[in-house]
Order: sequence, then C-alpha cells, then structure tokens
Amino acid sequence: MTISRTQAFGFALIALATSVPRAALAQAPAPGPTPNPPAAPPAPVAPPAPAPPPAPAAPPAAAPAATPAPETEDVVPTDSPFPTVFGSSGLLDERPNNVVVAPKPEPRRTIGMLPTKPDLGAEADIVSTANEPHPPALDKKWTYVMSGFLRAPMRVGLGPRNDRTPGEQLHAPPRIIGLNTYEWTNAGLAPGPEANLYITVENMRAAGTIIIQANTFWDVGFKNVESLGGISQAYVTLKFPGALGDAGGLVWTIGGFSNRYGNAGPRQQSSGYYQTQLFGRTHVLGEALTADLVLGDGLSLMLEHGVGAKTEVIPYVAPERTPPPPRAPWLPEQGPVPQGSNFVHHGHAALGIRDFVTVGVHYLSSWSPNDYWIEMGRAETSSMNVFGAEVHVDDDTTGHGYIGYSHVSADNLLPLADGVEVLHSRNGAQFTDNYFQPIPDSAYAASPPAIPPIVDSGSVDSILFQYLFRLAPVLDWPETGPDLRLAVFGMFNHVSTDVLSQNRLKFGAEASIRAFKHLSGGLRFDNVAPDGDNAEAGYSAITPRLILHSNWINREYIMLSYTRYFLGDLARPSRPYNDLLEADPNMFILSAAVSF
Amino acid sequence: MHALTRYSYSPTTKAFVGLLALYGAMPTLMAAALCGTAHAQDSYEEGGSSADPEPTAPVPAPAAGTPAPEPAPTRRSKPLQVSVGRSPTSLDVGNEADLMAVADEEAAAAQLRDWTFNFKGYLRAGMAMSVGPRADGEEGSELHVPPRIIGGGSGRWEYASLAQGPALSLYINFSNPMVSANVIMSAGALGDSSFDGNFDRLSPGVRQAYLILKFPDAFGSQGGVSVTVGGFSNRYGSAGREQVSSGYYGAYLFGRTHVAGEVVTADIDLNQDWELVLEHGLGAKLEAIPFLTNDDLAADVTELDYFEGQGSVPQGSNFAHHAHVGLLYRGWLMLGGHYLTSWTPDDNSQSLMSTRTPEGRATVVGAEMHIDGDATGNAYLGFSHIDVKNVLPLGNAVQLPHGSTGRSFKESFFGPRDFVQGFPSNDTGTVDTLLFQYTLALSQYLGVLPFNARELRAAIYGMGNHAVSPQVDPNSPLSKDIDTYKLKLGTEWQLDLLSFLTAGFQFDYVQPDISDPELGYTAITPRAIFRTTWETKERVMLSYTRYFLGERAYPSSPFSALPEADADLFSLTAIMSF
Repeated sequence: MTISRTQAFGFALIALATSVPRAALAQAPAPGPTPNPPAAPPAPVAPPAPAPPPAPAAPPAAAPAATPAPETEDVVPTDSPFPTVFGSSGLLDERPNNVVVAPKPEPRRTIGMLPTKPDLGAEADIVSTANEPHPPALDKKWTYVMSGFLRAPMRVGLGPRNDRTPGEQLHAPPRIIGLNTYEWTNAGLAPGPEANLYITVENMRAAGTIIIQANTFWDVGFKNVESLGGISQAYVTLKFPGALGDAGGLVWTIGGFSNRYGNAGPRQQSSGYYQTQLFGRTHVLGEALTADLVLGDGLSLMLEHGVGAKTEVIPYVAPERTPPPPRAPWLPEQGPVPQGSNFVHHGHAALGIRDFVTVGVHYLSSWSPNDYWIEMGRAETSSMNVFGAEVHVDDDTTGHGYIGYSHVSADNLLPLADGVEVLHSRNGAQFTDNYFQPIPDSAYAASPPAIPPIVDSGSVDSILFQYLFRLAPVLDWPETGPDLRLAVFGMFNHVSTDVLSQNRLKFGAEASIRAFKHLSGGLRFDNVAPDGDNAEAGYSAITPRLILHSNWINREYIMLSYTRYFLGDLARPSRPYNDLLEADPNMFILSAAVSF
Repeated sequence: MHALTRYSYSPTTKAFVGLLALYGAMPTLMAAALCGTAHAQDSYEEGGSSADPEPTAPVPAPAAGTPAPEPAPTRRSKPLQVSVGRSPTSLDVGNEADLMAVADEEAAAAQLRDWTFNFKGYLRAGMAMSVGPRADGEEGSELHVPPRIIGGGSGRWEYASLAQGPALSLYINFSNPMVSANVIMSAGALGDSSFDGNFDRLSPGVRQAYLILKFPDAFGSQGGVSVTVGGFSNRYGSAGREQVSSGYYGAYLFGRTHVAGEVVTADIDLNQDWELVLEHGLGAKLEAIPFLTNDDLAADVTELDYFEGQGSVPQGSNFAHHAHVGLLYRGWLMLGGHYLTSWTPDDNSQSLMSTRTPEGRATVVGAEMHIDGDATGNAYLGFSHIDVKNVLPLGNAVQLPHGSTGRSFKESFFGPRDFVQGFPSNDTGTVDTLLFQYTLALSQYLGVLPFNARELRAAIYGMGNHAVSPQVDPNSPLSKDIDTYKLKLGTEWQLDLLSFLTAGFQFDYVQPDISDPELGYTAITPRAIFRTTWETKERVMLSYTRYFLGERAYPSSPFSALPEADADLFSLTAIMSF
C-alpha cells in the first residue's frame, strides 16, 4: 500500500487532530507526523518507521532490516504496547510480515458530544473512570440481561343496556364490580393489561437496572396518559457477597425502585390472588440495605432497612383558579387536597428455616409534613404506619402456605402521596376512599357545598392467607405430566375510625386440573363482602376457565374464562362506570401471558 | 474485618457480626469493596460465583509446636438475597400462574433451552418545512414547521405520502419453535426535537404485546395452525411490494385491526403449487376513551391536540370480527378475499332513559390480487366495499382507509367536520374503493441506462372512491345528499446514478371530488436519495414538493381553519430498518 507524501501529511494531520484528547488522557506522548508507538524511542532517521523497542533481537517481523520501512502511516507493529492513536481496537488484517494495518479511523461525527454519549454529571468528572482511555478491568465481566413479562387480556362484560331499554349488551372494558386493582372489592378476576421489561447490566459487584412498564397497549386501547407508562424504575445495586465472610453478605440498592412486602404467592413469586401487598409496596427514590446472614443449622436471617422520598408529588392547582385544573379519567388525579412531600422509612426481618419456612416481621412508615397545605394555621402532619408479621411455608409435598397479619394506623391521610402503597390503595386519598369514607365528587369542586370534614384517620387490621397444594409431588408423579392443584385464599379486614367499625371478608377457592400437555382446566369460586353481614354490598362469583399452553412446563399460557357474578343489590360497577346502577353479571376473558 | 471473614463462628456470633457490620462497619466495608481489597471480593474477581463455591483443599495437619494455620476461608454457597420482600425486578406473573405454571424455574429453564431473543426496529426521522402565506395576513411568505400543507397525515383522504411524519418502532421478540412472545414499542414523534407533553404522538410505553402459539404440524405434512392472542394489530390490503408496505397512500384497503383478542390462521398446502391460508379473528378494544362534557370538566382538555381526541360523541365499547382467505401460487401470485366488521352497541351514549340507542357499525368486504416477480414487477389491484351506519361512536377497532376512527372516516368521505355548524351531519353510507399500484425495475428491458445508471425504477399508483351517503331527513338543514367520486393518481421514477445517490421524481394528482377541481391539487416532487452503498438498510431523502392548489384546497389539521395551504414543501428524511 503506497500513498503520496501529501496524502501522508494529510493523514497525519487528521491523526493528530483526532488523537489529542485521548493522548492527553493517557498521558502518552503526542503523536508526531508519524504514528510511532509511544513507548518506542525516537527513530534515528527522518523517514518514518515503526521502530521496535531497542532490543536488537526483537521479533523478526519488527526488525527494520527484515521489514522495509512502510511508506504508510497506518501500518504498525503488532507488538506495539499501545498501538497508534486510534487505540487497540480494530486491528484486523494481519499480514505475513507480522504487521497489521490499522483500519482507517471512523470519522468524527461531532465536535461536541454524541447523542448516545451519557452525560454523567459533574460528579463523574472527578470520581468516575468512564472517561479514561482504557476500560477498567472490571468492565470485562459486565453482562447485559433483558427479561420481561406481558399479559394482554381481552375483557368483555355482558350486562344491562346503557339506555335502560330491555336486553343486554357487550361492554369493553367490562362494567363489573372490582375491576380495578385499587379497590377493595377487587378479587383478581379480571387482571388488566401489563407489560414489563427489565434491563440489567451487572457484574459480580454492581448492577444497574432500568424497568420499563406499561399498563395499557395504546394501539388496542387509547393513549391513556395515566397508563401509557415508560421508564418506571431505575436504580443501582451494590453487592458485597463476602462482606460478612461465611456469615453472609450485604446488598445496597440505591435509586428509584419499588420493593414489595407481604406477597401471598408461593415463595413470594406473585402478589397472590388479591394482587395486593399486605404490608406495602414502596414507591420512592432512596436506598435499601439488606444483610443476608447464615445462622447455621439450616437457619438464615435477613435484615433490611430502607429510607426514601418521592421524587415529586403531583402539583396541586386550586379548583378556583382561572383556568381551573384539568380533570379527566386518563390524567393523574391531584386529589381533594394538596399532596405534601412524602417520605418513607421501613425495616424488615425474616428468619428462614431450611428453605421451608420463612417468618417475617415488617415495619413501614410513610409520612408527609403536609408542606403544601394552603389553609391558614399549622398544618397537621400526615402519616401511615404499618406493622405486621407473616409466615411462608413452601414445600412441594406439603404445599405453599401463607398467612400474614398487618396493622395499618393512619392519621390525616388525604395529603399523603404514594410513598407506600398498601392493601389495594395507592395513596392516602385512595386508602381513605377504600376504608374510611368514600370521597364525594363535591370535594373536588371549585365551590364545594358545606360538607363535613372527610374522615381520613383510623386503623385497619388485616389477615391475609393463601394455601396451594399440588397432588403430583405427593403421588410422585413426573413433573411433566398430569397434576391436580387446589388453592384456598382469603382476606379479612377490620376498619376502625371515630365513626366506623366495620369488618370485611373476601375468600375463595380454586381447583385446577392439568390433564393434557397443552390444556388445563379449572374452576374458581369467590365471595366478597365489603360491609360485614350486609350481603347486598358484595358479590360472589364462579369462574370456569381453560388454559392453553405449549408444553407441560411452560412460560406462557392463553386463558379463556367466563365469570358469573351473583351481585348484591348495592354492588355497583367500578370506576369509571360507578355512576351506573347495575354492574355486568357476566364477564368473558381471553388472555395471553408470558414471562421471558 | 479480614479476620472476621476468615473464621467460622457460632450462629449467635454470626448474627452479632452481621448486625455490627450492618450498622457500624458499613463505610469501611464499602471502601474496601470498591477498592477491591476485601478478601472475599478478590476471590470473586478471580471468577468465582456466589452460586458456585470453589472446592476447598484439605488442610494439612499442623506440625507440633507450630501454631495452627488459619483455616481456609469458605464461601457462602447460597445466592445473595436482595430484599426481605420482592425485588423490583421479580416478575409478578399473577395468581393464575401460581396454580398452573411451574414454580421451579430451573426445571423450566432445562426445558426451554430453545428460546431465542430478537430485537429489531425501524426509524423514520424527517425535517419537513413549508413556505407559505404569513400567519399575520401581511404580504409575503414565511417558513412553517410543521408544514401547513394539504394531505399532511394518512388519516385524511388527501394524503399522498409527500410529507411522512416521524416514526419509530422497536420490536422485541422472545420465541422458541412453538411459542413467540412479542412486545412492540412505537412513537410518532421524537420528544427531544418535538415537545415532551405530546402524549398523542410520543406514545411512551408499549404499543402492542401478544403471544403466538405455533402448531406447524397440525395438518401433518400439509400445513399447520397458529394462534395469536393478546393486543395486536393486523393489516389487510397493503399495496406495497409483497405486502411489505402500505403503499403510496399509506392506507389499508380493507382495514387494520386495533384490538385485544385472537386470530387463528390455518396454512394448508393444496398441492405443490397452490397454498391456502384461512384466517379468523375476534377482538375488542381494551378501553374506549372516556367522553367528557363541559359539565364534567373543570378545564376543557378534550380538544387539546397533544391529547388523544375524544370525538364529537362518546365512543362506545368497540368490537371487531374478521375473516380472510388467501390463495398463493408458487410464491408470486396471491389472491385474497376479506371480511371485517367493527361495531359498537353505543353503550356510552348519553341518551339514557330514552329511546333505544342504535348500534354503530362498519363492515368491509373485498378482494385483492398481488403479483410479485422480478420480471413482471410488483403489481397490486384491490377493491373494497365499506358499509357504515351511525359511524360517529365507533372507535378504531378496525381502522378503515383514511379513517382511523368512525369520526375521521366520516370526515374523509362524508364531509369534513364543521365546528360551528356541524355540517354535514351524515354518518351513514357506503364507500367503494379501487386501489392499484405497480412498480417495475426497467434495466432488464432497457439495457444501458442514461448516465450509466445501474437501475431505473418506475411506479404508478392510484385510488378511486365512490362515496354515497343519502340525506336521511330532507327537512334537516344539516343533512346532505352525498354522491362523490374521488380520484388520486401518481407516478414516481427513480434512477440509481451512483452507489450512494439516486435521483427521483414524483407526480401526484389528488382530487377529493372530481366534480369540484378547486378542492384538489397536483404536486411535483424532485428528490435525491443518499445511501452508503447499493444494497443497504438506510437511506436519506432530500426532496422538494411544489403544490398546485385548488382555490379551496385547505391545509390539514391542526391548521384546517386557515384559508390557504402552503405551496412549497422541503423535507430531509432519514430512514433505516435494523
């Protein structure tokens, strides 16, 4: 390969221009007109030659006498300790004389920062290694992982006509009671659309995670701003597996993340039949430090502590303002009063016994100084504290059992955002609406009529249980074969305020038969009583279902189910159809779900 | 701390050590860990794993009189727990899975080794600006972004793909030979160069998510069956080559579904040459956009262009039912027959306690022919008959040609929306449509091309519609007797001059009502197309369009209230699939 001197000079200029920053960072000699290896001594003669290190017995390929001095500036010896200003990557095209040709440098795309270049912030300029010319050694062990879960249901209700004329009509979404997760009457009979993507880059000591979440698929729904989703969580996990020697390790999670406590599913693999956490789910930016200890004799102890704060709460715009604040079912709801800054503090301990029994105790506190209070006078602090304990029993032969108890004490809940979500309630207003007193629409009006203050303080005691049993392990049937599975589950709550003392109970059972490689069938029964013995406020339901899967063991299923509701006279449909007098008594679901 | 990590202790001591480390020694531990000096972490650096403990070498007995050597450190073999509860990335697969799916992930993994992961995408990002009358009414012209042109979006009949908007799609696929899981993310705007609150176009989150079960041997050696379930969008009546695009008019002749539901497809070999494809689908919209009246609202957000529009009347629950048959001959001929119906019981109508609410419905039947061969070129010819009744409450369960929802279909074919008078009010009628497109590479017939070009490609295309909507009430001033013929035609020629450059020229004639030429336009579009080599996945297009506008050829939404459209359009567009 030969080029003219003019070309060589031009190339050298380009090389010089593109090399300066990297060379400076590497504290290597700036390249001259020819790209001599920085570690090599200056060439004794003017013609540029890739002089090897001074040892005369250098490898033959590098010996000047054996190799004619190349006229091109892009030929470098392979034994160069830090070859060329273009870095060590891309040295391909190996030649017989043991030199390689550096490929032509990729042209610079911008004088500034590329769109894909992360702006790490000023703090990274000092502490990070990201801008160094050589990747740190630990980079070599980073792995990228993407996993996910999707559930896409077609949910159709069949019920009274909207125009009150005789007959029934189809409704999508169904106008059933307990449609939404954030309602106590929810029994998990109609899970909504959901897609989660988990992207993690990690090595043995650290992991960065981004979670993308959506609760609607807008192509087949509409662009519901509240459900569209996006990046919902992002955080870093530092792992110190040997921090306590053979006693255990530590994990420190920092960032915006959501931990869940009080999950009734087997081995906490799901939130259980009622799709809620008994103790709470955090929604804050902060930290959680976990110690995982081995006590010996099959005992293990986990200790966890966390502190966090909401990144921001929804701003409050007074209804009297001109123009007034927008309200729509597909926009975030600001609530009847301003939400304050929201902080969370939580601690947990769990004792594991031979991977069979786990006993956990939990404490979570969410509070607000109510710092956006707009009335005169000292603002009352808002707080919600959760205490409780749980027992998980997980074994293939005895089954998967869960029982837990929690006590939620709430004080001045309305200004509390969703630092902790608990028991079908995302934030303080929802918890109030669910348990203490329904919030009337007039509370959102610009000039509300004189209504008594909303009761937003009190306590809720809850017991949640679930038990699943599989026949195949007991009878020693093969894992890939027929099986009979049974489940019972329930939740009891006692609500107590200054003006209310109420018991609530929901329970159910399910039997499922896996008879064929591609097909399972099941029958589920539910009873939901939101107001003690007042049967007219609740409902019961039976749900036969068919489940199609590709193999005995699978990650995906297609479920076809029908639910018949037996409704009390006071059982109303869920939002946004709660103004209607009658709920749909029939529901059909065709749902696809897969985890990957 | 080194000493603490090298000895084994009683459980009580371990617990004490753990607490001490947790509350007292954390900073020291962190510093040691981050500096890579902690003993245990050094061993991890050597490639160990918390799940795979290294075997411990036997320790020789100490010699008499010498202190016993420290026992070799052991590493904990159990995986490190991240939380007492569930970590953020643990999947909540729902209670259905508790009972029917496997609890043992290892067993599942052993059987699921055939799963593969794929990621692909498509992007189109363009700068489009127009030159036209000043907004202040003064003399002269000014630049406008976005362009204030007629036919600015495929939701209107006047569209001719002259100014395509930004589009980005990412496709995530996880599959094995029997199952395919798919997640599609998509956007119609780029937040950084648009604005962040454009929820109608930015569309963060997930667009479609669905599952396909494949039974390739369901009919033995004759063919198989696939079952698609979830939220997904199938397209029928694509004029592009081998159905890889919707063609020059960006419309699906028979429709595009937007529902959650199912599709079952049977693919059967009739003989060596002929293949039969049968398809049937049923679905429902996940939800219809709620309808808000001024009484419901503290502030009117219903007509803000950066939110999805709710329409002029409440949309009802929307269902779709469709069936199709395709006959394929040796891979170059496809004959198709299609039936789609979308309906709503109009169950969100606000006429409570009154008369029985009529349903809204749109039904499409039609047939098409694709011919795709190197010598013959790529030809498409299709005809559809669309019958709509009470179409305004209809959502987009089936997206009709140039009419995503019932309202936009009505505006394209039965008169545009008039905010003031609501004129005309027609929402029932029929539309017959003939769509054709033909593309051919000419070098095989012409031999040597001008300028030693490598290829000369030609395309002709057109759409004709006959829209009929009778006047229901002769006494109503808002109803109108509509009997309109619409026609649009065009041609494009492209000459591959160099490996990185193609020159092109496009001509379009668009007449929304052939009896009223002042509503339409013609346009000429010279363009240059750049790429890195002859065959590649990317292209950059630089084009200029000169419109010759009728007197009443008004700009598209959101500028439809302006009296004059821009006549000059410049666009620079980057397109790539990967």
